[in-house]
Formats: sequence, structure tokens, C-alpha cells
Amino acid sequence: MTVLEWFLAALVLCGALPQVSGCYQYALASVHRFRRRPTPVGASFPRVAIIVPAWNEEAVIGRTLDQLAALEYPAGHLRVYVVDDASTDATPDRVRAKAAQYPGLVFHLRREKGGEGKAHTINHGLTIIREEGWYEAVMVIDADVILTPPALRRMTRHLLDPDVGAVTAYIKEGSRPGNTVNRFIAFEYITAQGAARRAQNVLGAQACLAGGAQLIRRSSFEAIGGRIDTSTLAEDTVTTFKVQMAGGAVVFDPHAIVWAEEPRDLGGLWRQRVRWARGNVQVTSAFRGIWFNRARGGPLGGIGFAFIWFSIFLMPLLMVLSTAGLLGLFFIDEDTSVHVFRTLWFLTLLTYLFITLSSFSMDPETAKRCWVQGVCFPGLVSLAIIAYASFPSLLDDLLVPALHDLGISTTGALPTVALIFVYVWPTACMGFAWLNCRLERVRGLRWAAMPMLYLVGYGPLLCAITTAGYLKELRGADMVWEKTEKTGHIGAELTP
Amino acid sequence: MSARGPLALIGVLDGVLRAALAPAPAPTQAAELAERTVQDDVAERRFELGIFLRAIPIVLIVLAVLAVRLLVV
Repeated sequence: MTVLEWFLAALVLCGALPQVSGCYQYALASVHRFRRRPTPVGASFPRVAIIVPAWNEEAVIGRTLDQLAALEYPAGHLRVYVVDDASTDATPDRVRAKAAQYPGLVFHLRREKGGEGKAHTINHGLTIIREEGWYEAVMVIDADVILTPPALRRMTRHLLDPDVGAVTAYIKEGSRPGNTVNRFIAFEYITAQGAARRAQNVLGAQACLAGGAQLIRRSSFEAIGGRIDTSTLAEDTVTTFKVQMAGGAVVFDPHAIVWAEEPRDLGGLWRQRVRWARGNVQVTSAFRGIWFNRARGGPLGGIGFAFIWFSIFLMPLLMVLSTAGLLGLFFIDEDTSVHVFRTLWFLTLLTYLFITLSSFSMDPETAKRCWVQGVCFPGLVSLAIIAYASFPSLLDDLLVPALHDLGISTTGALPTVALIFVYVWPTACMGFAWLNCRLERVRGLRWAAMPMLYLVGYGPLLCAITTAGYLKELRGADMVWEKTEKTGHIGAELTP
Repeated sequence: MSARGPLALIGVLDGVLRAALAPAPAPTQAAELAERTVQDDVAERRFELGIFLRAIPIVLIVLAVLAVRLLVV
């Protein structure tokens, strides 16, 4: 092989970096029992002020407040402040009714001028609780989330360790009955939360306090200025980074479970995740001095953490580089390109097996409900390519005779076209995922969006959304907080 | 703070007063919850150990697939 061919082969294998990073995270997560910061044995019940930002949450706020009242937490140690961001529906009435029902627990804070976004709403509540001075820890939750009864006491026990500045819970998808999109998200959260955050516990650096449920010790909160960042679309990630840079450890508790309602269609998912992707660009840029720099970034400056962060952050680019490398090899030496292609996709098979089976092991309850979506996560097309690339002789024995039976010739241009198709698929699938989201809007064809989602895959969809987020950020689009609509679909069986 | 801030603060103080007048919580509640948290800890450690133990056969499956590939292709 020439130097150019080695270079192109290296580009191709860049496409495997996100999967290798995934395996790295699952390997770390599997030793979580032994390598994490020790969980203090005992209980701690600091006075916790829960801030609930709410804008037009009439469908969910009453139930949320009922379940907060049912938390296993000592009476008198908990206050819930609903910051009503100038809601125009029945939210104020619902909250006032709950404040009367739970005196001393629920408080209604009304902003007459709203619409500035979630971070501003939270800051309004924070200003008031800081003036009041009662709290020892502050917890910010979304208006729709359902904390399981032991969640808060499981989170607060970590504050027995004086080095812990903040704690985040395990957010799980709670829509019941969930649809296909909900179940894909539920499976995604095993990876993105259950595994990734366990791995980050082991590394000693957390990427993000879940926006839906984050607990911060008062001293840590005051150390970062006592306010939530309003300059980015990822205020929760900024808080997480600042707490750690101020010397506080951030801990994920996988046994403090919080149910959240997630988008039910591709359009809603697209809007939510574009916002997250743009926020990640802003955070990566705002904290550019910490990467690979332990002196400045502390635990965030570690190589392992940066590897995880950037393999996800750069995933769309890595896919494009991988495709470009394969096509380059194809035009130089087709045989070499086939060899490298098979190596890449066989590596994909191994990582897919490890990640999928480990996900089933890490959260068997969710896996039981969503195993089909777990298996189909990369998409049926990608699974077919994995099978073809990994065991070509087995598939040739089946596929070629079948094509002959159908009267399709397997000589001539067809093999070349098929080869180029599978080479460009890692990039092309993002385009198909984008088209699928458009398909969902077309009246009469909406039914086809879900079968297409299984074909194209949920992973490629996330990659496409990330790309769209980056492009939007590069264009300098307005930072509009597009709220995810909540309809109260969290299953009644999940509420206390 | 917005113009409604002081009013909101009054609302908060009202709630605090109501809480002060409400019946005091049972003194054993915190102790009972603390005991429950300690018990949870045992189950959680067992679950985390299970994740580690189940990873072993998963690695073996991956290695078996690798071996099959090397033998077949």
C-alpha cells in the first residue's frame, strides 16, 4: 500500500471512533461498582429548594406537584417554588390550588413578563430563594418530570461527601403507552445516561447535569455566581462545567430515577436536539481552554473525557471523512477499498454487539420494553451492510441465487453501484434521516415515517440532527428556546 | 428582580408562616428514611456488581464472533 492509501485507510477508520468511544464508555461503566467515588453510606437531608420553571404547563403541573409532595423526604426540609413564566393557560390557577393544598411546601412565583427562556425563568426563582436564604441545596427540575419517591433522598446522600458539589439523576423516558419514537429515545437514554454517566463517574468528570433534575449544593452554587447561564442554549452543561471548575465534584446517581416525557414525533425530536447540538457547540467553544488541559480544566481536561466528548461532537464529520476515504480508495485500488471497508464494518459489528448487549444488561427493565428499537438502533440498512461486510461468503451464497431467481443479473454495473452505495451509506443515511423527518409532515405519507425510521436508523437520525444544529449555529441563527410540548403522557403506573 | 419580586416574596413568607403553624413532623421520619437509604445501598451495590459480572459473558460473545470471522473468512 502507498502512503496515500494508508492515509485514506486511516480516514476510513476514523468512522469507527464513535463506536470505539462507545465501547470505552461501556467498559468504564461495567467497573462502576469498583472505580466510582464511594457513595456515602447514610442519609443526608439538607433543606432543598426545588425550582420548577413553568410556562403553560396546565396539563402536567398539578401531577408534578402531587408527586413532589409524595417524595420520601423529611417534612419541613423541602420547598417547591414554581416559577410561572407568564403562563397564559390555567397554570397559575393549578399552582395556586396546589399551594393551598400543600402549605409550606408549594410556592407560586409569577413572572408577568415572560418568554425570555428557561434560564431566565430559573434565575427569577433563584433570586428569590437566595434572598430568603433558607436553602442548603437547590434542585432544578422540569415541570413535567416525575421523581420516583426515593429519588431525592438518594441524590442528597452524596452531599455527605463534602467534595461533592452537584448530583444528577437518571432521566428515563416515561411516556405510556409510548410510541416508536419514545421507545427509541428510551433505549438511547440507556446509552446516553445509564452508561455514559456511569463512565463519567469513573473518570471523575461529568459532561452534563441532566436539565430535568439537577441538585446543587449551596456553596457550589454560590461559587459559580448563584445564577444559571443565559448566554447559551446549554445552561445545564455550563452549570456542570462551572461547578467542576470551581472544585466541586459532580456525581451521577443511577438509582435516583426520574421519569420525563419526551417528544412523540420526529419533528419535536428534531427541534429539541438541534437546540442541544447548538448548545454543545457553544459550550465547546466557550470552554476551549480546558480541553486536554488538566491544569486549567481539572477532571474535565483529561484525555479520556475529551475523547468521549469529541468523538460524539465530531461524529458527523468523522462519518463524512470515512466515506471520503473509502471512495478515494475505491478509485485508486478497488480491492484495497473492499478490504478496508470490511475491516471497518466488522469492527462495527463487534462494537454493536458489545454496546447493545451491555445496554440490555445495564437497564433490563427498559430493554424489555425497547429491545426491538435497541436492535434496530443503527437501522436495518446498516445491519444488512454489517452482515454483508462481516460474512460476505455466507451472504453471497444466499443473495446471489435469490437475485438470479428474480431475473436480476449480478454482473455488469450492479455490483459497482451496490459497492458505492454501501460506501457512501454512513454519510448518505444522514440525508435519508433528514428526508424522513420531512416525510412525516407530508399528509398521506406520514405513515411511512416510522418504517423508514427502522430502515434508516435512529443513530443516523441523531447524527443528521447534530449536523443541522451545527449548520444553524454556523449561520448564527437566533437563539430561540423552542419548548418541547408536554401533554402529560407519563404513565399513571409510574407516578407514586 | 422584577416588579413582582416583593409580592412573590410575600407569598413565600406567607407559605413559611403556614408551615410554621402546621403540625410538626414525626420525629422518627428522618431516622426511618435514613434507615431505608442504607438498605437501598446494599441492593444498589448488588445491582452494580451484576453489571460487571454480566459484562464477562458479553465480552466472550464478542470474542466468539471474532473467532468465527477469523475462521470463516
